[in-house]
Amino acid sequence: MWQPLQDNPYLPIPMRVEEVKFESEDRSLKSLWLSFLTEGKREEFRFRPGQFIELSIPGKGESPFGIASSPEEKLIQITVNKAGSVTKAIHELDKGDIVGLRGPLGNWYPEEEFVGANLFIISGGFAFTTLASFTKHLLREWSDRVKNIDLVYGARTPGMLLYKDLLEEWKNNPRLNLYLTVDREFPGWTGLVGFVPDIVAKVKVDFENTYALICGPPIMIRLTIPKLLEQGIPKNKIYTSLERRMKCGIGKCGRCNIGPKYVCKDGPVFNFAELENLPSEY
Amino acid sequence: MSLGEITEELIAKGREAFLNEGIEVLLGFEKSSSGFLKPKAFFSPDSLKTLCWDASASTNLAALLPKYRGKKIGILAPGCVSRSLVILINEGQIVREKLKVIGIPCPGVIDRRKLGPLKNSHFLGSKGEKFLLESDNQILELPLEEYLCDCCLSCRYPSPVIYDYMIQGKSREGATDALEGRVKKINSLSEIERLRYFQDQAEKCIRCYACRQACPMCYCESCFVESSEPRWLTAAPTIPDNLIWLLTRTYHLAGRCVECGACEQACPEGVDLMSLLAWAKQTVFQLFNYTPGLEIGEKPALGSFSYDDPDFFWGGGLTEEKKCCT
Amino acid sequence: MLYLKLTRKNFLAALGSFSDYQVYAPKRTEDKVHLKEITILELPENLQFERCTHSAKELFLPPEETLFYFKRFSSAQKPLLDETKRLIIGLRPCDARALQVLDSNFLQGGFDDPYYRSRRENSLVLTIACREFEKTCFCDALGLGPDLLNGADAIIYDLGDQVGVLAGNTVLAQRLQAFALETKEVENETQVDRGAVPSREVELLPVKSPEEYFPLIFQDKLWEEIESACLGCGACSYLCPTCYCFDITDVNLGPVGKRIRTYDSCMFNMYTLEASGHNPRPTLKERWRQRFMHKFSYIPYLHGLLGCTGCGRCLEACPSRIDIREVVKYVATFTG
Repeated sequence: MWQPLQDNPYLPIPMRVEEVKFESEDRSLKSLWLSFLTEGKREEFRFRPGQFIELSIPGKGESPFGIASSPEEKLIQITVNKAGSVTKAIHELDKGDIVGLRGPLGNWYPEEEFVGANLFIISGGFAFTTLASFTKHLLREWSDRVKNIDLVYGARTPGMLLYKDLLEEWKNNPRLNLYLTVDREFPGWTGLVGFVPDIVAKVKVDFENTYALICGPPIMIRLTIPKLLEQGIPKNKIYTSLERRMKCGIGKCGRCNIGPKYVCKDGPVFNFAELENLPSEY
Repeated sequence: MSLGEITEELIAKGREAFLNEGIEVLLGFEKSSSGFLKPKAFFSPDSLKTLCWDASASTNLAALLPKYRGKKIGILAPGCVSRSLVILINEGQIVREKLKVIGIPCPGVIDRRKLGPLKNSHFLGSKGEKFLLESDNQILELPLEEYLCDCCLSCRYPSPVIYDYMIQGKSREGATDALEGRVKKINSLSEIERLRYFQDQAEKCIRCYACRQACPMCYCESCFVESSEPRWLTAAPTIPDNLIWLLTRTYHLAGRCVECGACEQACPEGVDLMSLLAWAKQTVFQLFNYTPGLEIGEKPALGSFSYDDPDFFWGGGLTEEKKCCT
Repeated sequence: MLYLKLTRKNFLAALGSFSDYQVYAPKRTEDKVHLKEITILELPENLQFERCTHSAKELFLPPEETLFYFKRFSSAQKPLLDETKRLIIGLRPCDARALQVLDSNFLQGGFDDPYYRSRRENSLVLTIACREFEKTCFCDALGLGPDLLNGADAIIYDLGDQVGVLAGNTVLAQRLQAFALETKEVENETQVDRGAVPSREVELLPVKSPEEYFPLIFQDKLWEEIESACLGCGACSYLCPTCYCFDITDVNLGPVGKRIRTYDSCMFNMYTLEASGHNPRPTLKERWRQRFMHKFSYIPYLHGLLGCTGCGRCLEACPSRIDIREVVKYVATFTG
């Protein structure tokens, strides 16, 4: 469980923006790399892939973002979609600006469970952040402890794919089978074409001993999970990361609950067998 | 109207609306656990056996219309509700052909605030000019006139202005100046006292938005209080923020409010909402000679202009008589 | 716990020893009763207080709470926690019970809420046993009662010219002991003289166990019927002593600002509205169901106590006269 860096879990700690970069052609998606202003806080900030942080722009508000950097990286990376007033203000940030951060919050992908199994990582759009963190960590630190790694990642257009440099690196990585797809034909695109659920149905994986990790828009999750179940992946081996409107991020304000579970505290990573026992309010 | 008569006719007309006119839902009332009426949507003619109407029906049913968008809707309508329907039609929110209006000749509706400690008694029904309450094992027979809402006392349109069926009976006659009296009383205060009065009202407000939800004219999918860019008021129930809420809502309703009183009935804190709304209505009437909700197709006063509108800036079009209350 | 009998005068004198505490009691202004600060001398000797319109929530979870101040677009400042010592007297057992529900959210589950904790730790809550039932309250129907301690620091029973005080708080008990006529150690309320406790014929509402609600009742048409009446206002949530859901927003005051928390309600559309426009609870059917399930299923499941105290404020305030007791009864006898 998270131990807050401050006694007061509502108080953000100051961070500096070290680097910014637009991830998509239409400039709606922007990555920021943050460093801690206070000495020693980076070492204290121990997180695992799947967790999220709440980024504060004092005066504007706060928003939750999945951590896109992996734990061994020095800076904290998040990728922000410009959707509302807080994210608009975040998009206007530049190198040197000061922001506030609370975290790490939530739970993480249970890496220990996956040892010895195959991994099927599925993602779409800009929900790829925490799975990118997971995959980076996996390939760098413990890929020898799993068998096959298949990754399906899709976006509407090639320009909307996140982390293009990383994806280029992964194309040549022998440990990873990478399947990139876009919704429709696009000039210059040599990868797969089709919606993520359809591509997932076509990929050949050993469904006996495979864990699936899915993170994407609700509609993509709803269409993909049945395909995985059809192939025989048991429900308790499917993990998904959910999103909800959040405010406190620590399970106090009451709004992100699904049944008796809070997405900010008991999630955002949920096992599908667990989700089936909860109301389908997501 | 006696207890039994109107109910039978209501149910009969309701059945007709389902069977002959093909409505998919009827908005009406049924008895709640305390005997007072609560709003209910009926989806089949057989479910109509609990349909009724009496002087405790304080909800404006037109506020429930957005839930059934696209359906053919039957609705019980005394005068104020029918005027709300006219405004909604004029503002393009509903289509006349999709409405079947069962008109009710209204004797007025009881003001829960005026009941005071009796408001938690069991309501047994209204009968002519009286109504019955059960409290502490006693049955009390009380005169309707003493407990009617100020809105009902001042109502000049108790009978519906549009209807497809009309229930038999007599509406309330003789409008008093209950609401005008409230406005006059506040106008007689000095400016400082007036500010004090409204600050006291704003202090009571807890920003639960019951007034907004109960009002058929507040149908905006995203209310101005939810706007973050620009942010008009904070989420905190301070006096300045509450004043912004109360006054802006009054302005948004100027020329649109039918003075049904549903907002005041819904407010759990007893805020004086009708004084502001009555003042706004008076001002619109004095400036534009306009009363909302009387005619389908009429042009709303604050949604249209004519060349002889009062023009303070250039000094034309404003006679002594038209000067608004000071 | 210690049970003490004191004369009224001595009881008030004993309270006087808490001179470093601000005293709060229910006080009527026009048609509302709020917890207001008073002096010990103003406390009525008959210790009769009206029931608060808004309950203890207004002191422990105020309608506006500043989380911290900040200089705009730079670092945050340290917040000031409210450490005022308060002696709150005159609440009812249902209000104390509500505080237990609030405790289960704010003081458990990993992160303590420092603002709530500070108020709670610095307050003494003394309730008085009810002398009569309100027309709308139903704590007895839920298996609770108008004479229970419910985790308060003490409950005061009316014994005529004496008072009986059941004190759960040892510091309070010790201070009262010096003024008491008699004291005894007890285990619970049934072992003591509680004066004239009101009782009435009431049908016990058969509340189901939390697991029984889902998925059986979740899909029932009951929620559509409630949706036809519910206006979606926040009156029930704002008046409810156990509703604690809050919103966090930033307020700018020129070059500085503050982050505040204010009341929110699960009945509002914006409560779960996501930036993409997707809303997992798009209509009042889902929202009303959430409110009910939260009180009667999720809170009992997570914390072992009902999220409803039976105070009846919601059914009194509801403009559409929705009666939560009817819903409990319907749900409890539902067999699918």
